[in-house]
Amino acid sequence: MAAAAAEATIDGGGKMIILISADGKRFEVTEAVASQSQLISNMIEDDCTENGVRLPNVDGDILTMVVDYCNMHAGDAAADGDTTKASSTEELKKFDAELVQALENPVLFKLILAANFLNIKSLLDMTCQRVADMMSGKTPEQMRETFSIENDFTPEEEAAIRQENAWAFDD
Amino acid sequence: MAAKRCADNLVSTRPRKVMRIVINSWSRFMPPYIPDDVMFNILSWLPSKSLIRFKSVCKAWHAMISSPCFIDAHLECSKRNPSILMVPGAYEKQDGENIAFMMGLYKYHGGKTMELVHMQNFPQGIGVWTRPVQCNGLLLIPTMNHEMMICNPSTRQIVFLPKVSGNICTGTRAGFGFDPHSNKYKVARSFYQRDSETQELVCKFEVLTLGTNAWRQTEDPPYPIDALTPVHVKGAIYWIVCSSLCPDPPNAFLRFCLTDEKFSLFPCPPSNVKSVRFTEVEGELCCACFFSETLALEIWNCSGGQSLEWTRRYVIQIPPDVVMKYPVERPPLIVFREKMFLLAFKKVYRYDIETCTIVELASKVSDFTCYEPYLEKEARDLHLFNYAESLAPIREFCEVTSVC
Repeated sequence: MAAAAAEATIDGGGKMIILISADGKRFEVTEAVASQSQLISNMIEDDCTENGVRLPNVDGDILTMVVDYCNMHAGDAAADGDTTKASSTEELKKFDAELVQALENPVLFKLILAANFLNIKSLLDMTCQRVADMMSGKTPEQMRETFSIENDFTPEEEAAIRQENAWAFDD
Repeated sequence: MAAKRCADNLVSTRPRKVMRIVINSWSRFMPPYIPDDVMFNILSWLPSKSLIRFKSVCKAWHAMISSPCFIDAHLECSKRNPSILMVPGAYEKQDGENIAFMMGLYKYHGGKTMELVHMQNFPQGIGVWTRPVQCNGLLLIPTMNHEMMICNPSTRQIVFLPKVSGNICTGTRAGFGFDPHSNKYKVARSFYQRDSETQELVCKFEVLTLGTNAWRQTEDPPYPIDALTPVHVKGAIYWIVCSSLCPDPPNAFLRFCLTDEKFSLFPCPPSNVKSVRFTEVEGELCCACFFSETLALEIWNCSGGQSLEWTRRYVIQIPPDVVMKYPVERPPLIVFREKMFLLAFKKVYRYDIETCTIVELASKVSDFTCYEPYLEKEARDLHLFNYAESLAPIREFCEVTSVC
């Protein structure tokens, strides 16, 4: 069944690929859309997408977002236009901004890990940048707490590092 | 022990409780594990100030943030979000000479406000500086008294460079760029000497590779070089020929390649005007040409590559009142990115690309907050440039260092 669907083509002539999330949801996308993921692009080259691509560490709701993002950005990548999908730069910027702004932290991090696993550089950069925006202005203590990091400096070492750049600790 | 107490005080003055609540709601949903390469990517988007603070989080973060590959990645990220820096020149008279004891670096975000990012103190005072030159987030600050400094505003480090060769003409300029082949920063300057036999002025040229102690004289430039701040684009520095010292000037710029340290001629934009000024925008060479009769300002950019094609990007009609008060010899300094477009004659203006209108932004020293109110005079110079933050350490560039 999956194999048959994967062989199907749409009007534009692009081959279709089935992506299967961890919880078994199936997404049918064109090769142009899917190959924005370097991971899938490599699989397409190696001809191992025929039975669908299983993504055991990406949930369906996260994959929905990834597929939306890739559909939106397919215009950048698609060589010969499925023009209905190609979006203007302005629209894309708006879409991206709304996507990351709306995300709750747990979802944001899941999306980062998915973008990292699927190797979608632009989505990874965008989501990482969003986390960086939230971290900027925070204290080292807050970072340790947030990311469960153990402070392995001796008090003397830490004091020395802080004193070297005391200005960076001013508000 | 005193140092530790000082650090504790720093922490205790923070409004910890409020921040904790926010952060806790953050951390509850954290994924159990963030791979190192993802954390590397996240951190590389942070502003330098946050990163310098986060060096004290743990040893692993300290090592990552200090590593050359992180410093490179962070620079690439900050180049994607560049800001415009403004440096007003304000001096005090001492024994009849203009001396600066401070230099305020301001970031322009839009609107009418400017944020002070760094105030560099010069306790000994320095002479009148010429336009600072930016390369990869580092600033070269040359003065008319032949002092030269490299400053990294993002880490607040500054180093003084070795003494330059004697020069009998004032107002020669220095360039600053990065040679991708040797992975070294180089400072290059022209200067004038009198030929011992003919007594004629001869234009000389010397280069300092940062990290070494001495200036090296190169081949003489093929034409005398003008006292106009050069610009660095992709491993080469571009200069303008001094037409007053050259009977038959070429219709070309001088391009100094930082790799082989040789000069070549580079075609001017196809605009029949002599008065030009350089700038660098998004890694491309840009050139402003001003027509004083029609008050039209043309902005050209050169895509580089094999064909060296100049494209006219903007034509801006300058309102007469902007240039009436100050006779304009040179085009204004210009800097732009996306929809932000600033130009500086004697004052700084913002040009609106859509409505083609010009709004004044800053003119007096008092518009800049770091200067004493008694300096209620016009800034002698307003420098403008695109700027990306860098964490690059510069102490290794010279033994004589001072940190403010």
